[in-house]
Amino acid sequence: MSDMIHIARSGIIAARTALAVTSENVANVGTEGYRRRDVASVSNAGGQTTPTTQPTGGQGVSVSEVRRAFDQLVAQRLWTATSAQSASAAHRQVADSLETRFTPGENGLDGTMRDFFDSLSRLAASPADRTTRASALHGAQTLATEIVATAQGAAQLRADTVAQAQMTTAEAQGILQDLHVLNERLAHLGQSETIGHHPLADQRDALLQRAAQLLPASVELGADGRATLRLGSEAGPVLLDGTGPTRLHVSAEDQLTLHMTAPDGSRRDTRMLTGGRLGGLAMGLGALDMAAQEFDKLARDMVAGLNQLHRQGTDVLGQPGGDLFTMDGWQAKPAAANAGKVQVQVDMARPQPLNGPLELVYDAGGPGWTARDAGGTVLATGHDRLVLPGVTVDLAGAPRNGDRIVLEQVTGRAIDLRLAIGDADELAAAADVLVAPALGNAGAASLQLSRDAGEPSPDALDVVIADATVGLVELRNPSDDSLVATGTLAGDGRVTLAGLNLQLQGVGQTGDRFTLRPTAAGSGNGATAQAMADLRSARGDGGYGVLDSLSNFQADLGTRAAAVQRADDTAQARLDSAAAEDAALGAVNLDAEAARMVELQQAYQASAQAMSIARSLFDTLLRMI
Amino acid sequence: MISDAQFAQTAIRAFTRQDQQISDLQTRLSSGVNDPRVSADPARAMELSALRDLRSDLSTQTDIGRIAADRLAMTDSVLSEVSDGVRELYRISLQANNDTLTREAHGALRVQAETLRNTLLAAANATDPQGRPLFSGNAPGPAFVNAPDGVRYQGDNSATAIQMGRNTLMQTGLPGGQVFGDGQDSVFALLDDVITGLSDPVLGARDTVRANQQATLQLGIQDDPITFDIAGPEGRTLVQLPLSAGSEAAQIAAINSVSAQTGVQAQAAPDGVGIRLSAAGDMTLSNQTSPMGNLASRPLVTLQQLDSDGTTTSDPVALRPAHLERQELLARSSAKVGHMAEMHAAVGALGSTLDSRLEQIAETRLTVDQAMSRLNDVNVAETITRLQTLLLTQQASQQSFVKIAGQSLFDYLR
Repeated sequence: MSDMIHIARSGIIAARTALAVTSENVANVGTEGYRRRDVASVSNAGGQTTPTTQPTGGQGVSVSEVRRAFDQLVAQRLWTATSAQSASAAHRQVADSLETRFTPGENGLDGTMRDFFDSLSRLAASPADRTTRASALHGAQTLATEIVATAQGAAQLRADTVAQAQMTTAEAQGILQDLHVLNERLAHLGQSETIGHHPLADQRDALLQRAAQLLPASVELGADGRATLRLGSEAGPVLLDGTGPTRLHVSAEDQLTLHMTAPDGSRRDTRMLTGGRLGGLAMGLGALDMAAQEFDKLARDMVAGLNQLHRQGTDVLGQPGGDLFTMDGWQAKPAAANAGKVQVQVDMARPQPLNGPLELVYDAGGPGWTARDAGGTVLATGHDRLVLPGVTVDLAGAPRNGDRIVLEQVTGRAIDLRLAIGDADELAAAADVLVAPALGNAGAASLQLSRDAGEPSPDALDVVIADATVGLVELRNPSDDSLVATGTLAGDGRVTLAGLNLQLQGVGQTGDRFTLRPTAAGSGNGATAQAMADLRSARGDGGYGVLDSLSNFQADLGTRAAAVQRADDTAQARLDSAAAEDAALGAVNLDAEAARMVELQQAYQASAQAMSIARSLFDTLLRMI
Repeated sequence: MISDAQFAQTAIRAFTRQDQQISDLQTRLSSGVNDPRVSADPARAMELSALRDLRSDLSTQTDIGRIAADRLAMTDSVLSEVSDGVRELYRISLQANNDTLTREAHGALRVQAETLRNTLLAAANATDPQGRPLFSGNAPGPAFVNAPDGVRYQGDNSATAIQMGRNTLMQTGLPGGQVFGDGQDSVFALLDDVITGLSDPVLGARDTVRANQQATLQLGIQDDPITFDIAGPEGRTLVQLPLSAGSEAAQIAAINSVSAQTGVQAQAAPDGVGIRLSAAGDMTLSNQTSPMGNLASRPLVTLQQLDSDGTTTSDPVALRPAHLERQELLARSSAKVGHMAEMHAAVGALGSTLDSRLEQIAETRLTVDQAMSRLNDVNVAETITRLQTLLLTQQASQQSFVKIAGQSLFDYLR
C-alpha cells in the first residue's frame, strides 16, 4: 500500500504543479510578451521498494520541467514583420502629409497658379488698363507667396520628420539600455532553462518587439538567453552585446544618418536604415527631399521662362522689363562644433550685392552676434536681430560664446521666390517689337518673333513672303525696301534671319508682308503678357507648360503615396500573419487553458481517489490483525 | 489556435479601420466633394486637374471676349455715326454741285462741312469703355490729330486682336487707316477739299474754263509743274507746264508744242501779264493736276476772254484743280459712303464671329462644368448607402465581438 500511496502522491503533486502553471497562464493572458507555459512530466523508474512487495513497472510521475512556448525562428519572423510594418507606417505618414500639402484644387497651389496666368491673359487683352495691371501684379505676388508658403510647409514637415527620428532614436536608446540590464540579470542566473529565466525572457522578448518597431535589428539569443542586437542583418554593426549598448543619435544634413558610438569609443555612421520606424522616417525624408528638389526645379523653370519673356518686353514707360521674379536667398549653416542651439531666419527684401558668404559669431560678454562679410568687414551686431543691407537676420534660442553660423548665398530655391518688381507700371506687358500683318495680305498667316536671351531688340523691319510655294522669306528695310537677309522656312515654319527667330503660322501667300516695329511707350499691345500667359500649358515644341508640370508633380506625389499605402497594407497583412503564427505557438487561449484545467482536475481527483483506496486497503489489513 | 490577446487586437484594429472609413464618408458628405487627393483616385484627380485648367481658361476667354465684344459694339456704334456723317458729306457735295446756289447758301454748306469735320474727328478718336482708342491700333494716344496740313493719322495701323484659346486670334477692331483712309485718301482730306471747294478762291472756280478765239492765260507760281487738258478746234491733249518763276517762255513753248493737236497757239501777252492764247474757235482748259503729287488748295490757272482787239470782255475765270472739281468731290464722297458701309459690315462680321466664339465657349464651359460636377461632387445616394452598410457591418462586428469575448469555458467549470 505504501507504494500505492507514494504513486498517488506523486500524481497529486504533478497535477497540482500543472494546475499552478495553467493558473499562471490564465493570470497572464493579457501580459505583453508573456508566453504560455506548460509542464513536461516523466514517469519515475520502478523497482522492488520493499522485501514484501513485487517489483512494479514504475513509481509514479514527476514534473521534469516547466517549458516556455518560444521558437526563435518564429519570433524572428515576427520581429522582421514588425520592423517592416513600422517602417511602412512611418513612411506612409510622411507620404500622406506631403501629398496633402500639394493636393490639387481651386484653393491649392494650382488654383493660385491658374489665377496668375488668367490675370496675364487679361493683361494681354488690356495692357494699358491700370486695374488690370494691378490685378496682374497682385496675382504674381499671391503666386510667389503661395509658392514660398508651400516650400516652407515642406521644410517644416522635414524638420518635424527629423525631430521624430531623433525622438525615435532616443526611445531606441532607452530600450537598448533596458535590454542591457536584462542581459546582465540573465547572465547572473546562469542557466537558460530554469523557471527563473522565464519572466526575464518574457521581458526580453517584449523589449525586442519594441526595438523591432523602432530599428531594423537582427537578434541573436545566447544559450543563457542574453540578446545580441545588430543593425539590419547578422553582419551589421553591433547595437547591443555583452559589453553594453551602443550610443545612438541621428542627423539629417542631407539623408538621415545614424551615428553609432560603441562602448569602446569606436564610431560608425550609416544611412542604411531599412526597417523600423527610423527606417520609415528615413524613406520619408528621402521622399521629402526629392519632392523639394522637384518643386524647386518646377519653380526655377517657371521663373526662367517668365523672366526671359519679361526681359524682352516693355513696360508702360517703354522701358525694357527686367526680371519678374527672383530666387536669390541665404542659407544658414551652424557650425558642427556649436555648443548652443539657435534658430535662424533670414529675410531678404530686395537682392543686394553683399560680399558673401557672411559669418556670424556670438560673443556672450560683448555685443552678441557680429556679422562679417567675406572680407572681414563688420556689417552689423546685435543679440536677436542683425540688419544688413537688404537682409535681416533674426536669431532665437540659446547660443553659447563662440558659436558660429555661416550665411551662404543660394539661388534657385522655391522658398526664396520673390517678386522682383514693386509697381504695376513695371509689368512689361508689351512686346518691344510689335509684329503685325500688313493691310491687304492675301494669306491668313501670323508671324511670331522670338529672340535669344541678350539679343537686342531690332529696328523697324519688314518680313516678306517672297515665294510661298518654297517658303522663301525676305527681311527688308521698310524705309527703302532694301534686302537685309533672306532664308527658307523649315517644315515647322521657323527661320532665323539676322539673329531674329521667326515662325510663320498658318497659310501665307506670296507677297504677304509683316511689319516689325519698335513699340512706343504706352503701347496697347500685350504680346509679352500673352506669351507669358501661354507658358501655362503645353507648347507646340513638345515642352511642358507650367501648369502641366505642376499637375505631373502632384500626380507623381499622389502615385507614390498610393504605392506607399499599398505597401503599408501589405506589410500589415504580413505582420498579421506572423503574429498569428507566433500567437498560435505561444499565446494564451482561455478556452484551451480551461480545458486543460478540467483535465488536470480530473487527474488530481483520480490520484486522490487512488490514495484514498490505498488507505482503505491499509485500514482493512489493520482490522484483520 | 488564436490567442485571446490576438483576437482582441485584431478586433480593435478592425473597429479602428471601420471608424476611419465611416469618418471619411461623413467628411465627404459634409463637404459635398470627393477626396481630392491624387492617391485616393489618380485617374479622377488628373482628369479633374485638366478640367480645372480648361474651365479657368474658358472663364478668362469669356471675360476677355466680353470686353472685346463691348469694344466692337462701341466701334459699331461709332461707325454707324461715321456712316451717317459720310452720307451727310455726300449730300453737301451734291448740293455744292448746284451752280444756282447763292454765296450765302454755299457759306451755309461750308459751315455744315466744318461742323461735320469736327464731329467725324471726335468719332475717329473715340475710345472703348476702358479708355483705349478704337482706331489707333496698338499705338498710344488719339488716332487722329489736327495738324497744320490737315488731319493726320498717328496710329500704327495694326488691327487689335485678343487671344481666345491657343493660336486663336480674334480681331477686335479695324485699323484707323483702313477705316478713315490715310493721307489724301482719307475722309478728312475729302472733307478739307469739300470745305476748300466751298471757300474762296476755289468757290468761284470752274471745273472747265472756256474762251473763244482770244484769251489771257494766267498761271500761279510754285516749284512743281502742273498738267491740264487743253482743247481747241483741232483736238484735245494733255500739256505739262512748269510754274516756277521765270518759266513763261517754257510755258509758251509747251503749249505751242501741242498746237498741231489742239489748234491753240500761245504767245507772250503784249502787256506782259500772262500768256495770250489764240485759236480759230473755242478753247477749253480742264483736269488740272500735279504730276508731283503736290495737290494745290487754290486755283493755279485762270482764263480771261478777250475780244478780237485784245480787250478783256469778262472777268477771269479760275480753273479748279482736278481733285477739287465738284464732280470729283461728289464721286469721292459717294465712294466713301460705300467704303464706310463696307467697314460697318466688317465690324459687324467681327462682332458676329466673336459672338459665335463666345457661344461656343459657353457651351464648352457647360460641358466642362457638368464633367467636373460628376467627378468632384459626392454621389450622395451612393455614399449614404455605403455609410449605412459600414454602420451595419460595424454594429454586427461589435456585437459578435462582445458575444464571442464574453464566452469562455471557465463559465462552465464547476
